[in-house]
Amino acid sequence: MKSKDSDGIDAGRRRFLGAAGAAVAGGTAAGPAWGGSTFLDAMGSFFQDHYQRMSDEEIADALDRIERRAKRRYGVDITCRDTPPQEGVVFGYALNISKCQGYRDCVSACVRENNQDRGSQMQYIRVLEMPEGTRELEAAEHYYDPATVPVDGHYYLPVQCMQCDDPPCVKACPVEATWLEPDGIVVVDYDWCIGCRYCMTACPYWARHFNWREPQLPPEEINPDTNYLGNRPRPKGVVEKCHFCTQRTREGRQPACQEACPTGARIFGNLLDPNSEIRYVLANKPVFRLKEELGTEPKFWYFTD
Amino acid sequence: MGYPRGSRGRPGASVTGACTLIAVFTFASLAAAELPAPEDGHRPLRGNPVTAAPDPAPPPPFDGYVNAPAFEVVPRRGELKFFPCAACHDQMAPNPERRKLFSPHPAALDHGDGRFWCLDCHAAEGRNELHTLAGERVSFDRADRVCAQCHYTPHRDWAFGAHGKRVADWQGDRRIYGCAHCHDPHAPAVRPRVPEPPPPVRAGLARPELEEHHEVEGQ
Repeated sequence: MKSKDSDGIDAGRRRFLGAAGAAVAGGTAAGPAWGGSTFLDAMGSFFQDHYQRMSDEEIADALDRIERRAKRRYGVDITCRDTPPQEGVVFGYALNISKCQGYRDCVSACVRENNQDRGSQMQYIRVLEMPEGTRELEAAEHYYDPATVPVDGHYYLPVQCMQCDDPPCVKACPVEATWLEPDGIVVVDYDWCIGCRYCMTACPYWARHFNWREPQLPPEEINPDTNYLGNRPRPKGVVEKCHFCTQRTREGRQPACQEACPTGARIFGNLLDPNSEIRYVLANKPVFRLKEELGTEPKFWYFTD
Repeated sequence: MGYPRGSRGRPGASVTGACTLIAVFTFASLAAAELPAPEDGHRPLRGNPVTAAPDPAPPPPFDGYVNAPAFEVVPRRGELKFFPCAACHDQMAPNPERRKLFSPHPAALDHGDGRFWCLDCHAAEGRNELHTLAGERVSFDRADRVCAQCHYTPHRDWAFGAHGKRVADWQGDRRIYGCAHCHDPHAPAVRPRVPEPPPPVRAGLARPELEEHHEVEGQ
C-alpha cells in the first residue's frame, strides 16, 4: 500500500512528464500542468523579476499566475493581492508572559491562516516551556505535551519572528530575496529565494523555516485570502517566516495569532501611534526583548503584569 | 583651592570644574535671596501654604481614566443564557438572606473566599442590572465598573490596552472584550486546559530523550 507522500511524488512525476509532452507538442496553454503550471505560466515565472523591481503590470501578472496555479494544484479559487504598507505605520508586538498559558492556540491559528505544511515542522510560532526563574533558552522545551497546561513551575515564552529593525537575516541573504518593508515587517519574495538558508543561520531567534517539501495541506483547509508577501502558496525549497500576517494587518485587521489567543496575552499595534495599546505597554509595563544584546533591535517585546 | 582628585595631568578639566562650581554657587545665592532664609535652614511647618479643605460633597461617579483611548466594550447581554433576569425575579419578592441558591444559578460562588454573595454585585431591585457599592446602577454590558471596585490595577490596564483583548482590528474603532467575556465572575480562576498538539518531529530526527521517556512509561 502506498503512502500519501509517494502518491504525491508520483502525481508530481506524472505532471512533469505530461507537461514535457505538452511542450514537445507545442505548449498548449490548457494542456497538462508543468509542475502544477502551464507551459506559459512556467515561462512567466522563469522570467519573473525581483518583487521590488517589478512594474505594476508585472506584479498583476504574477498575482494572476499564483491564482491560476493554486486553482490547478488544489482546485481552489484563491485571491492573491499585493497590499502595500500603510503610511505612518510601523508594527510592533508585545506579549504578556504572565498571561500566556501555553495553549498553542496561536500556533494552530497561524498554521491555518498562513497555509503552512500540515505534516512538517513548518510553524512560525514556537511556544517554549521554560522553568520558572530563568530566561535561559537552553532550558526551554517546545515539544511539551502534558495532559493540561500550564504545568506547575513553568512559564511559557512564545517565540516567532521578532521583525528586527536591523535584521541579520536580510544582511545574510546573497540575492536580496528578503528585506525590511517600510512598515517594519521583514518579508520574503518566495519566487526570488534560492533556498541557500544563510538567513536561517543568521537569525538568532530560530524564526526562519525551510520548505523541505512543497507545503501539503488539504484543499478544503486552504485560506483563500492571500498576499504576495504573505501567505500565498509557497514552492518547495524556499525559506519562509512570520510576516505579521501582511494579508490581514495591512488592511487594519489583527494578526491571526492575536485573534486566536484566548488569554489576551498578545498585543499588536502601530508603534508610531502614541495612543496605541502597544505604546502604553512599552511606556508603563516592565518589558524585555529576547537577546537584546545582539543589537538586532527586535520589534517584539515581552512583558509581565 | 586644590585640584580634584583623579584629574592628574589634565589642568583643563580642573579649570572647567572650578567654573562650574562658581556658577553653581552664584545660582544658589541668587535663589536663596528670593526666599526668606530661615536661620536653621528649615521653614516652620506653619509657614507652608494651607491646602484647601476637603470637599464634603460625594466624589463624582467614576467616568473613565484621564487620557485613556476611547473604546467600546463588546456587549454581553445577548450572550447571557437566562437574561433578562427580571423575567422570573419580577414574580418574586427579593430575599436578602445569604443562602445557597439552586439552578439556574451557580451552585457555588468561587470568588473572594466567601466574602460576597449575589446581592453584593446584582441589584436586588431591578434585576436586569448590577450595582456598585456606592449604589450606582451598572449594565451587564459594563460589568467592568463592578469588577474595578476591587481589581483597579487590571481595570486601568484594560482601559489603556495592556490587559484584555482587542477584537478584530488594530486600526480604527477600538472594540474590546469586557471582563466577564474571559473571566467567569462566579469562578474567575483560569482552569488548566488541554494544549494544542506539539510540533511534529521530522522523520529521522526523533528526539532520543522523548523516546526513552515513552519507553519508561510503557514498561
